[in-house]
Amino acid sequence: MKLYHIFPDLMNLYGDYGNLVVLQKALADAGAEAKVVPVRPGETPDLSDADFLYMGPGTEPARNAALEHLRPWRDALAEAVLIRGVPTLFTGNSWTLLGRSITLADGSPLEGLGLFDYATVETRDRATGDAIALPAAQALPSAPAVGFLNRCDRVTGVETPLFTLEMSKGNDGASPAEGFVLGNFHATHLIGPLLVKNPHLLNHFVSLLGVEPRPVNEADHTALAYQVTLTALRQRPAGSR
Amino acid sequence: MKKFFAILLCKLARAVGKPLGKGSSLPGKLALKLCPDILSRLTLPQYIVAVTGSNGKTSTVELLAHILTANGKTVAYNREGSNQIEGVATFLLCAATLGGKVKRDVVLLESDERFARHTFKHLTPTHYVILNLYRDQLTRNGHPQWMYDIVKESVKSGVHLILNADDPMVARYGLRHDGPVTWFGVNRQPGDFDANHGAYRDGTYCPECLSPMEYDFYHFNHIGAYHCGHCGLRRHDPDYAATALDLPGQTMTVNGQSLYLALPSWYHAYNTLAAFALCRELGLEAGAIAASLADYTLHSGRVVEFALGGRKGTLLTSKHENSVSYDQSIRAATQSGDECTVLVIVDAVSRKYFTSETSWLWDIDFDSLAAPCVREVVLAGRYCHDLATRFSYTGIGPERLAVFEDIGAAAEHLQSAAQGHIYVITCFSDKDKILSLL
Repeated sequence: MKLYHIFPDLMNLYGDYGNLVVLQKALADAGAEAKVVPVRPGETPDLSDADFLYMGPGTEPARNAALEHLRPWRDALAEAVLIRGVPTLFTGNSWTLLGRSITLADGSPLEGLGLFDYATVETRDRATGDAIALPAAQALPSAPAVGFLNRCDRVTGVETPLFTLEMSKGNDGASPAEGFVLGNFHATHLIGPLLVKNPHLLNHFVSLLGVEPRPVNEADHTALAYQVTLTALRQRPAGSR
Repeated sequence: MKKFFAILLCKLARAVGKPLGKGSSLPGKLALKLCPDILSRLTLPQYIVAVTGSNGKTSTVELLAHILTANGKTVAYNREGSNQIEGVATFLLCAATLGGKVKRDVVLLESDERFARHTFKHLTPTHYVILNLYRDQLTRNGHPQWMYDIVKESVKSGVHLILNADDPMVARYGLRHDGPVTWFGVNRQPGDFDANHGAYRDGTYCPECLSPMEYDFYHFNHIGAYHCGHCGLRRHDPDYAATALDLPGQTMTVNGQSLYLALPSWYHAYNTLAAFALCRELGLEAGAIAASLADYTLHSGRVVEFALGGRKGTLLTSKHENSVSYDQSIRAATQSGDECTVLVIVDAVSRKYFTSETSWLWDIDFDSLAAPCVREVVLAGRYCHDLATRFSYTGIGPERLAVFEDIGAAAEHLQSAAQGHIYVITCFSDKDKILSLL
């Protein structure tokens, strides 16, 4: 199997490479060999053999640069994601570049790759905070996800959100609807090693790749870490952010 | 008259509040309420030096205060480290006459990266030392580019910049700056790297234009000698260049002058280098600076020596949410190659605000603890399972790991089972939880 990591150094904040590291390991544990294939700016990869696509968050200038690097292979990406339905995860601000448009904080517009219909407007305010994310899509595991938001934008026009947030604000900065899902395409503003923190969500992607995952063992450190964070978030002292 | 009363109020509130532990920022807050523009109505000394950066602000300000005082200068600065505007107002007004004259030779401002732009509206620094910009406190700071933009708002034309030439993010402040720029940097050292060995590679792309960037060498992380083939951002030749950096021997040479390092760490070397550069620019003699450094001891409690079960130990205070500081502590623990046991504690991610965020563990090069001299790594605290998960993806096998939620149980384990020197790597927020047990 080939797990494509798009722009691993350009689009990289806070350990998000961990998502691919644990996915590769979970596949191996379930008996499936997988290779992480980095795609660097300037390369035009052949995505026809892609089993999984991943892109992580970046700084806003890095995301703008990534958009221009992706533009030449927009059609190959659209084919993989929209026609072949390759399981895909875009985290942080990376999924904004697949929408219709991005308006930067200074008002200047960027044309998105237009795979999806949502639009992004960036702000001069940054919202950071822990989040509990309940599944909003049927196919997702029922366990709530935990994670962290770190963003400076509003995304509108999403009709099928991935999560409903129990803590922090969602796509439009007001409602709890967060992320975007369509078929096997998953997008969320939760950043960092999301699949490390959420063993159930990790297994969801293992299944999407056609592999029967090893069940989550509640005594494993990963499952215990998940419970510690979920408990900490649920018991968050009143008045803290 | 308002000015007079605001200063009086501040001094009185300080006298009353200090014994109650309310003396570091409340007096200034009260004075600002009475007279919001009080800072711009003061008669300030000739030199106002601000220091900012992700890591090393407090240490550098302490060093500067020591060197300047030892050389006969009078200094006003915030010993209590409350570096927002209320804290700055407190120490400045307490150092002022009731007429508003700050009778000192130099004012030193430790400036929080996020608040400098606000503080400097009322108080314009003459010299601005920028130490570094790292991935730090993501739960408040967003990311380094975001912090770059915020700090940029505080860099006014005319100010004399003292910049770390080895940090490409910091070097950008020198581009097109309308005012003097002085650069400090560490030249190539024998232990430097040809490739970035960190868990992530922030120097891969130029922070100015996002084109690929080349390095001649790396000191650590993205700190080193870099150049961008596209926009021309490059490591400037340092005006103050450290050579012969001998960490075990605790010395380095800067422009031919040998300097004593109170701590054998890269961090302290950079802080000392920045302090040396600034003091030289203020007109102090190199030999006089060196003499005042020779008897310097750090007061900040960043490195604490202890004993446990008959073994010697060292606590290396690091910063949670700051991978570079962890990488430096790991390097300090492993650089001698002597047998050791390492305890890592993550119990409260922050002491200042609530968060349960542990992504930053994946930015730390824990693989370096796989060195054979490290006999065992002990993981402890509320987030020990996050640590254990992270360590399961390093070259350190389970036979060399021990995991304890309870810090006391970890201490007991070390007491009976530790081999060699004990290093404790943790944050300000968690260090007393272990020190109180030793």
